[in-house]
Amino acid sequence: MAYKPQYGPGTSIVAENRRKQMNPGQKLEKVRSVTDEDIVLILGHRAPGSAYPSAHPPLAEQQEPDCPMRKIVKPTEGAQAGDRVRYIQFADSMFNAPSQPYQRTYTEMYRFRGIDPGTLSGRQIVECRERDLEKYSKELIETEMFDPALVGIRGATVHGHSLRLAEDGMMFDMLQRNVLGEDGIVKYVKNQIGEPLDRAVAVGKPMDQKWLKAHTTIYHSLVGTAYRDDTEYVEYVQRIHSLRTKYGFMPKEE
Amino acid sequence: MTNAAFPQVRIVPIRMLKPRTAERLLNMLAGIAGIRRMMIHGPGLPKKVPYGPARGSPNPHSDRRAIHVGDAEIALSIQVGEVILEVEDASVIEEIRSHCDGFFVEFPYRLQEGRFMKTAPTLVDYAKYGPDADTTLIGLADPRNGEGPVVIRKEQ
Amino acid sequence: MAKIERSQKLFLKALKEKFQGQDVESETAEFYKFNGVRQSPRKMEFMKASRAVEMDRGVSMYDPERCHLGGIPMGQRQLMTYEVSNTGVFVEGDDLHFVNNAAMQQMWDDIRRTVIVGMDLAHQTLQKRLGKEVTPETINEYLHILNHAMPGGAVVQEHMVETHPGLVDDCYVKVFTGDQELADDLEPQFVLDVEKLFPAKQAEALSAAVGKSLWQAIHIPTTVSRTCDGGTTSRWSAMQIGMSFIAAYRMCAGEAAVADLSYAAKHAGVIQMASHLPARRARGPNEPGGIMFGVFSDIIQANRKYPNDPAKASLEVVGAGTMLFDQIWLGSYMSGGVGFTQYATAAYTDNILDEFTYYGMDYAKDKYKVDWKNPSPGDKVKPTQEIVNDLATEVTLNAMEQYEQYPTMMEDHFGGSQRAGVIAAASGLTTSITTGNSNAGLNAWYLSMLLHKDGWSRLGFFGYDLQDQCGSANSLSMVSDRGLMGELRGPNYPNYAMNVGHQGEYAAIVGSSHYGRGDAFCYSPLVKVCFADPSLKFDFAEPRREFAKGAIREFMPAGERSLIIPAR
Repeated sequence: MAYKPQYGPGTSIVAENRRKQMNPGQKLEKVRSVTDEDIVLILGHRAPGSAYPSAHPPLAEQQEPDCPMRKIVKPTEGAQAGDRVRYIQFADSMFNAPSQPYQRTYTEMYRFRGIDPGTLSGRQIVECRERDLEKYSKELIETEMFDPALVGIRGATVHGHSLRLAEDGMMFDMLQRNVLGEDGIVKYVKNQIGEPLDRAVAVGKPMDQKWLKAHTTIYHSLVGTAYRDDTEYVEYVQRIHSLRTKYGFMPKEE
Repeated sequence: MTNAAFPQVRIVPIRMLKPRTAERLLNMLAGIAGIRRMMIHGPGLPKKVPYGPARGSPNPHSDRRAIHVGDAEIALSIQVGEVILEVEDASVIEEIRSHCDGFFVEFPYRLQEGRFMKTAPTLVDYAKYGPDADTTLIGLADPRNGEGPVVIRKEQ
Repeated sequence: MAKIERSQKLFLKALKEKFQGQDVESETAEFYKFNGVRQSPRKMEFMKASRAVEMDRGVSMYDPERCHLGGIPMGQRQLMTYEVSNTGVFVEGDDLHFVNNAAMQQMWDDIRRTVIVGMDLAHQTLQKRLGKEVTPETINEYLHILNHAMPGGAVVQEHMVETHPGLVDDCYVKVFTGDQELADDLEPQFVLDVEKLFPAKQAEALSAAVGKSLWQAIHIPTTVSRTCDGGTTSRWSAMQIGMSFIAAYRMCAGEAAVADLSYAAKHAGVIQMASHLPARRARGPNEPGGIMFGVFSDIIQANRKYPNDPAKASLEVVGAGTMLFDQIWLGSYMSGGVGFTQYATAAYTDNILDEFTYYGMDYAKDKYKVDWKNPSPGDKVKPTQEIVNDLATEVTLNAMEQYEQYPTMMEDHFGGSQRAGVIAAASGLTTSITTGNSNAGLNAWYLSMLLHKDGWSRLGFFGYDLQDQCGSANSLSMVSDRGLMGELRGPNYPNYAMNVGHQGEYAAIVGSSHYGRGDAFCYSPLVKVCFADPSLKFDFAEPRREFAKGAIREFMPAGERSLIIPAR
């Protein structure tokens, strides 16, 4: 019987959103448009239009050893070209940001190839070949996994995920990489590591509270869905824990 | 061990305040008689990028600016998340509450009574101020920040 | 106008209190002649420095005179002061770094400089091999000599170099036994009297466990264990014990029985506070990595002083444990550098863990009818997986909701690791106290971690991926060491040796299962009695209060050196 992933338990909207983000069979809703050049500016790894710096010659130009794994696994575009490994890192507010650290990692593992994600409490980083990164970043920014006010693209100085929002609804950023303009549009004025940009990069309007509550993947009893109310989810975690405890004894299957 | 005689309260808005709102709030508070000392607290807004690949480069931030409270000018170096006050007696707390009820109309706030501020010097104060630290000033500024408290005077 | 009047009245009231007998409203009153803050050269220096800064930046600064004339001093901070939980003392983070805190140093010094050495082997050697008589009188004589020798006084040989008593005043030896008759026959100054030091029920259990044996609680000088290391303690003590036996029992220094006495004092009869570690850790015995959690929970004495509050007793272990294991052991011994103070202090400041834990106590009382304020094995709940899951889930959900409902609490514990440690600790302590089973408590810790991770889609830093997400499988099922599993594990247990914010809490989870049952000790009755000593510099019944005293410069440590350095 073929394994059919279920992408996690739960009856709440939070659980549903988690499954939707993870499931590569579901198309993520595109909420905004950001140009390729703008993505490159925010990432800050190379100047727009410049060639991709490389870590090794393109695979086609170098002798590949006779390796069965290499024959099975098709290299990504970035790997094929010999790109450097670069990163994008997100800080997600606990006040209903649409994606959250582990959720991002799970989602990326299901949807992307050739990646190395790292998950912490205040930030989540994903590393991969540069041209793959730009493609993935576009998806992470343009779709319902992103919100201009509650998600920060921050390579360093990430403090903010656990703080109250500012009066204008923006998550705190010590380096104020993104600002909410009077026109209601959020613009990045610095790249992800905090270097000022020559021109501001617009990433759209912040989503409203209702949308956020309906699209978030974090439980929150004050501003969103209470974890306690998703009984199925809690019971499932208990079940996993109980089974892991029991299987620590290496029981024999009857 | 310490037994501070004066009540303390803190004002916690559900949102972090912009400098202009903080300025209005502090001026309102400065007009209330019976406040012994105040402190604003929130995440820092450093002048330079403190760490990471861009470490040391300038960090322009629109919320790091001077505000005027009473006759004093205060160079904000934080985003104001809460205001902590030590007051003469409980009646002052009620006055603060009634002022705040009128002030916070766009979003809610909480007024919490408890202990939030140092009242007795610790080792850090000894290192900074010597053996006879002025207890009205201790704990009002970050230990390693060279900038101490300012004094606000206002017609009441 | 009314406001100004009231404000002035209060100001005048304060002045009158300060300058009694003077007319404070007179402009020529005596108190003006003190010259105010200008009496203090240091403040004058501050004012001068402040003026220079003001001229430079154009914003006013330190101005005590103006401040005292009716203005409101206002400061801004990004770091908050913390209350050391349950003490009412507010401190800066810096005050809780062990380098800045003499009480923290002394707590560790007092453990490292301690060994317990049995007397029975030596007495048998003296009686059976040499035919010497051992009586309470000879023991008293020996203890007099030992308390001269242990700090570094010379016995046996002439022309020996000695230490200055003023430098080693913290060094002494007392004895204890479960034989009350023998205890009563010894000089009270040398005796740790179990009956007097412990509540009756605990004393009875301890006396029974210690039995007729006689043990020496030895504390070598702080300065010695600092200059050398924990491995020195048993060696220093054994040498002085040998000399004292020779002197007290009129032995020949070269006779073969001395070797037996030495062997007993150095090896056969010694209880170290910590076992030595594998070569890759490069530490001898009596260093923090080798302290078993059961032993640590016996070193901390809050359950002796507060037998009816197992939650408090456990929280004291958390405070002491995070300080020793996170701040000193992992922070400096292992990782090197200035350490992890910020992270460790989350568990013993601002009463947050306390609140979560007492919530668990109320829950256990309401749902399982556990009278936690009267600890006894009788009403403990059977630790089934279902009950462990229920307790851990409720405490975890409550704690998460508290962080959600009170955003300042979330900002206080701004990092996931701080929150994870505190939430899981409350779950573990609650389960341990309710079931009286430390394995169950550890298992609850790991369910809490999983729940936390799934609820908020985040946990601590990378290391949590390993330690806390595989723990379910190693908290109950280690067949080989199923007995006293938590008690015998320590900071160097493989799965525990990597993350800050765990070891102190594990120790407390282990201890709390015993405190919840009302046990007199967790692992070693000898250690429990040894650290009940009121003469120790550090009060092990109140570690958090002692740390707070250290932070406000009210703790007087040992290790005096002013006698041997130039006066300032």
